[in-house]
Amino acid sequence: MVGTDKTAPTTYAWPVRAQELRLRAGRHTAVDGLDLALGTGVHGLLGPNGAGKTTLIRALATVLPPVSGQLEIIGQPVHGGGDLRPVRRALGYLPQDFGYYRRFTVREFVEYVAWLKEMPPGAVPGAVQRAIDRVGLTSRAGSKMRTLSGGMLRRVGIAQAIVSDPTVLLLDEPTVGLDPEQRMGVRAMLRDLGRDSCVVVATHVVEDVAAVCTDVVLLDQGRLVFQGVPADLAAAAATDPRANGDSEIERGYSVLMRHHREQGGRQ
Amino acid sequence: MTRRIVEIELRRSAALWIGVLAAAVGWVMTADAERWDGLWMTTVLVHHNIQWAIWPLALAAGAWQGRRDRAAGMTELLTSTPRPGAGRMAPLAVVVAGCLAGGYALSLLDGLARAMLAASYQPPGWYWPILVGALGVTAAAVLGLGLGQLMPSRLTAPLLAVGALVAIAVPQLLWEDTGARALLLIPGYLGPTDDYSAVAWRSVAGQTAWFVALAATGWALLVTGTRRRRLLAVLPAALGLALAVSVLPAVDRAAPRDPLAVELVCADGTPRVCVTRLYEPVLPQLVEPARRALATLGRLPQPPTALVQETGQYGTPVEQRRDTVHLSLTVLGDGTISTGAGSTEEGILDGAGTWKCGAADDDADAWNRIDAARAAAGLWLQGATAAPEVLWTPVRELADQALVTLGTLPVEVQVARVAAMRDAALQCRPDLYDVLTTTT
Repeated sequence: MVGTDKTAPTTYAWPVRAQELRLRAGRHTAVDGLDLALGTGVHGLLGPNGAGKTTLIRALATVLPPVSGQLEIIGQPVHGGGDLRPVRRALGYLPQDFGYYRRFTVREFVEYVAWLKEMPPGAVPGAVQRAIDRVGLTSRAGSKMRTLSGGMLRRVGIAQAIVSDPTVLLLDEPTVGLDPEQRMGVRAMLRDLGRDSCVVVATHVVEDVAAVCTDVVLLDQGRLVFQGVPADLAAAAATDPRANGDSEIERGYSVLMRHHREQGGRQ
Repeated sequence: MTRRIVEIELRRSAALWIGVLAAAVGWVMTADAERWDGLWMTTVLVHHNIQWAIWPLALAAGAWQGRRDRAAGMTELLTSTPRPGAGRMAPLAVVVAGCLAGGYALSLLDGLARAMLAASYQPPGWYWPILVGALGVTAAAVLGLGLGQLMPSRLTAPLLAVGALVAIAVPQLLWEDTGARALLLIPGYLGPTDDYSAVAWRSVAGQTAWFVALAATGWALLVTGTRRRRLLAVLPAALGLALAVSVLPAVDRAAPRDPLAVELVCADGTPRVCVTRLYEPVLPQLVEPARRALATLGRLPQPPTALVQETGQYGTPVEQRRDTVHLSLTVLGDGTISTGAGSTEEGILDGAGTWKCGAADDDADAWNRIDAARAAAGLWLQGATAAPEVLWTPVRELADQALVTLGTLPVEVQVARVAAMRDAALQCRPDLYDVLTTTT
């Protein structure tokens, strides 16, 4: 089933497409009038705390219904409710607060998620093993979740998100708690996944974006500040002598943020 | 694949342990060393009745499992997956309800095996109370899962357990006398029962409807997400309640006597010695002493010529025939019969072969005098001159006095006195002692 999905010609231009999207987090409007189109590749969602990154990811995961505007995932509208199952089958999601069943082993947990994704039963054992291998937890596959360290749990979170070979992979802070070596491993994996799926990574870590993203989406206070390739972000550093930061990308980030705020948050 | 998930849930949830706990609690509560193993239906009904304890346990266990998703912080991830709520919750519900209902049902295994070995009479439909009980426990587990999901607090499970206990106990304490049929909605309650009780089909049907409805409500709570649909979840319970109340019989007819169980079975030969079909396995123990006692009673004018087990409640008035001993028969835990304090023969001769009756339950003085007169008559028939030590002191002293009084009289007067007491006892009169000891 996954195979035919992969080989069938796509009927949509963008795996993720938002128009005039408005989202609320509680009573507060967290995303306001966002227009966004994301294709195949690795998209870094950057922005300060409260920019709306997590809220946006939650909407893309079909967990948070939009207040207004349009949101299409793999060509299917999800803003009006309706049957979300085909969309959800194509999603992989690592929430910011990744919950898990403490007594399950790593393998059981990933299997459980594969079952929730309605994967064909025959494909599950192989897919589960591949996902566990990919995040480097092969030797801990039989360990109970409650015995794992924070970094290991984060990697189980990634494994469950990628187990179904999703067309749209949503990762909220995937590298939190990982040591440098593990972080490099995850980056390599993301680069690999971004070749034929749409990977959206919300992060605070600018180097992650520089290292793996094919596309950067900069958000501030629920609005789009910038979308482009990392090189464009780095180039923005040269436009303003007040730029600060340790790398070109960081300087570009700070310049774009400052300009955006000086314009009163309007584009 | 779903089978694999069921396996995982079975291994990783607490369901299996709770099932084992239910089996252990059920076994301890059902077992009774003093009850004769041959009382098949009594064992089944005791097991049905212990739902008063298992039901709250199942409700709490379900609620504890039901809060798992929220407690683990899994709701966010679960919402993003395509598998709908019903499909997702089914394995857990099957495992939790299955382990609890299975544990409850298995707790009767010991009692049932004993009954099969000890009894010759298999009550028809003996399995219905077990099936309805297992259904009740299933309903409790599913309802618990639904409520636990709805209110994922740590307090939900203990509060539900206490609430269920109150809901089970309080109506029985307050309204048992009213005999309202709604009492039969209480898990494990079947009204007053005795050794011969069977369960009316209306009780089975009504309780089944009620428990199916409760399970449906629990399931609806478990799998529906929106608040409006959760409100609709109350519908099945309301419908089931209405249906159950219209089907359930009056409380005193919920578990009527099984006519086959009370039928008499008699030993070969004469004089006739009969017990109910339920007690047929102990008939051989009874025949010899019963015939000896009947021979002894032959000294009296118009003596009884047969002995029949009486099914009326001990100590209450029953219609007695002059030519028949109405015997109160008990079988002890070890399978031996008991007819009173002494030997079987002594038990039959007590009251000169009459049924013990004649005073109100709580009238101790009247009972003392009745017991003393009956004991004295029995002792006189056996040629004894003093009451045995085992008798309770006031009764023994009265019986001794009666024997002394009798001993002073000519033999034919003694016979007339005992015969007169027997006449009085056949009518359940309270003045047996005076009849035996006072010249009229």
